[in-house]
Amino acid sequence: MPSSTSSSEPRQIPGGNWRAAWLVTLVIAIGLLGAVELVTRAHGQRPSVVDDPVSWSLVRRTADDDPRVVAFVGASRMALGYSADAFAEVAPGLRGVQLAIDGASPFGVLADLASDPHFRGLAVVDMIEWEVGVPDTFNDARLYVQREHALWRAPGALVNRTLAGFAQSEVAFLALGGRRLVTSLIGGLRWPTPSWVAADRDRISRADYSLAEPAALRRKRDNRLETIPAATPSPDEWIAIIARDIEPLFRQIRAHGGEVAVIHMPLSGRLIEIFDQKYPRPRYWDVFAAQSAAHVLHFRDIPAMAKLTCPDEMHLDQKDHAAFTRALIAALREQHLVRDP
Amino acid sequence: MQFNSYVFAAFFAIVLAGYNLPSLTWRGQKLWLLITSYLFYAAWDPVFIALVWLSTFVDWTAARLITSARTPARKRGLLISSVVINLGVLGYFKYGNFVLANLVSALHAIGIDYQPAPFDIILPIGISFYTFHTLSYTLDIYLGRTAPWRSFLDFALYVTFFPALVAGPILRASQFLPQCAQPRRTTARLLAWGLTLVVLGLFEKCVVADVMLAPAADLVFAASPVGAADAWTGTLAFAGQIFCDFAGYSTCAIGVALCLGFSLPDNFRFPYAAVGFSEFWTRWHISLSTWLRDYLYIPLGGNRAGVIRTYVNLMLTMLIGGLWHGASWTFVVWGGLHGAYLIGERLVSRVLPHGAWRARPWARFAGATITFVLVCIAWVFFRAASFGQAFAILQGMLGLARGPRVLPLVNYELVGLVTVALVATHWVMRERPLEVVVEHTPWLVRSIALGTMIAAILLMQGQDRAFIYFQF
Repeated sequence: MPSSTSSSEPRQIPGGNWRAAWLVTLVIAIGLLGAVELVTRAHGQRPSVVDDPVSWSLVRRTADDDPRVVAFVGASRMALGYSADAFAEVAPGLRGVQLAIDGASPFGVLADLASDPHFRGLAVVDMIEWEVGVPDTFNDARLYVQREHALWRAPGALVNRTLAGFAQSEVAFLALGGRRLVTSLIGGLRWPTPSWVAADRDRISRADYSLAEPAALRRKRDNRLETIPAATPSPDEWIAIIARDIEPLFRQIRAHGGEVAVIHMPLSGRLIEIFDQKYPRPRYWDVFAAQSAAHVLHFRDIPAMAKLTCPDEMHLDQKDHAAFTRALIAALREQHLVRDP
Repeated sequence: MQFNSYVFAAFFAIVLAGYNLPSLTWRGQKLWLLITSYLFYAAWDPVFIALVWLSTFVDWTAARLITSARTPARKRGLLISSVVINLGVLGYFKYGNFVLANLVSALHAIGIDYQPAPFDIILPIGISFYTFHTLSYTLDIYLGRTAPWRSFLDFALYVTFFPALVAGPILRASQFLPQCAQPRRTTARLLAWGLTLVVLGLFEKCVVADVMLAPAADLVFAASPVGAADAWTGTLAFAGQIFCDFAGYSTCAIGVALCLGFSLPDNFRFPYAAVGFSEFWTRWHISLSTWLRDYLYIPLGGNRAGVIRTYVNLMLTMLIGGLWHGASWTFVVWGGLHGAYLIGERLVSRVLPHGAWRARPWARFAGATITFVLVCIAWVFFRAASFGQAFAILQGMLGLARGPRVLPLVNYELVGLVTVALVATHWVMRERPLEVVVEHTPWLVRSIALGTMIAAILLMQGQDRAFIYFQF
């Protein structure tokens, strides 16, 4: 934006009553934002903290040098399945650390824990069949892991993330996203529908599917079915890939005093039917469970988990994540992986 | 640290409070600004602050030695040393990977399969800007345009002054250092107008560039093939985005500096209202275009050595200007296109008859339209990640390619609306300084506009896009 001065001379300052102008400006801005916040909340939108590599790094740092740590590793399934409150209730002597990353396979984070001799806790890994053998799957979490390894190199981003976290955890309209707001208002002449997922500053997410429009939910389910790989590795290939790429990570974690439990998270509807067809459990999952150096669990073997339903066929609703977490801890306790001091 | 971040808001509040402590002397205030400027840079990566120190030390020393040198040869030697060190550092960090990749390609073309080890270089933020700050000082001393400044503190602050450190405007010593001689404070009027400029700049960046335009440009420049409507919409979106992003940053920088009592030079004067390319470059990234004019085009001979040599000098200056923006041949082509436009304009000007017709509205409108369209075509190379992508967009723009529709309908509406508003604003404002327009605006209207802009900026948080010129 230009102004009239281009030398070192003092710039021309427009005259007028600036004091009154700024006072009224602030009143207008606060009034507008307050009104938008009220409307946003009235439409069901909750405050939500944006997840990013810095947030993840700050949580990741708390997973080291403590055998009481239970680190939850995985994708959005684990992010939405884990309840910090339920965990604190059923395992008061342990410390839950949420390391799941939305949209990322668990293997990058697992590799990071495996290469870290300071990790001595229990890694609970959310893994499903189609993630095995996907090219570049270890790179999904690369930005997050790299950021954690060089956290001090960008102190400004650290402070910014902390301040942004405070703001985002209190103000609902920040969760709308400017682009969504503009396209909804201009393109659809309506207020944006609320996001059904919200997260807090500790990276604990909750999904409230009662906020989802049925059409949007159906579209999401249909889109996901289209992304299931057409070609499935044979059971032998599948097991061989795990033996080559993933089992060494389990052994590494155990070598420095940690433990690993792998959990097949609940799935529902057409998705689990397709999984049953493409990856028959006796030839895939059960073979892996029998051979693995990790403790392997399947949601169908845990009655309290088996009865849970995923509204979008893949993720648990917030009304079920406490039940899932309690069932998970009970199952881990049965395997003697979780011991309260 | 970006102007559109929470951390900058907190940082700036602390800087302002410390700067205006009644007990602080003018020297103490400048020291405070220097320390906080280093913190501003270190917030991105503390390691690279050493490069700013190197640049400061080299040019401070070179300037003093040039002044005391007794022979022209020694002066020239010292100047060359400074230029080599500055451009050497810039070249290593900014062009190391580019040179290596081109070397590998060249060797491959003659049958040599050379596979060097990965050359993972991080580009230090703002290096192109502060290198040009310090170089201009040494060049001005050598050319006798300015005398060496006595205070090292002032010089270090000139190099590091945080509002202009990472993305300009590119400062000249003669613009900044004299301001260090007189004590300055934040006054109510400076603060009011400075913050107004910050709000204007953030509105351009956060609302117009990031939310309204960038998504359309991103979608189109990731697609291939692209149909005509998408290609034009994506290109117009980028034309608006790059202006609002960079002019927005410059406006914020000017506003922040003003709050501290300092005046920075203008960087943009409504460039999309330019009639012709010579005029465009007096309105777009003014601090760079004048830098290139003073330290490259004129030393090459400018327009003093005949017509052909003028054209060669113009083309060379624009090619180097293109390369300054980034280590990629697409930037060089962007610069080359602007060089060709400037040469073409001179050729056309020689052919067309002179007369009053040139000032007629229809002629000016036609000139501005042609200029804008050709500038947009050049932006395709600036934005595209590869020549393949650029040619796909150009084919679409010329109607030579058909592709599935890339953009949702709302993007056409938004980009169309913003482009018309942007060009119209530039046209209306082309002869009017912003300050004059604001001066004649009732204070209540100012308040409504500013209050709405502040609300919009805060509502549009969450895109988290860095300023485009940070990468240069």
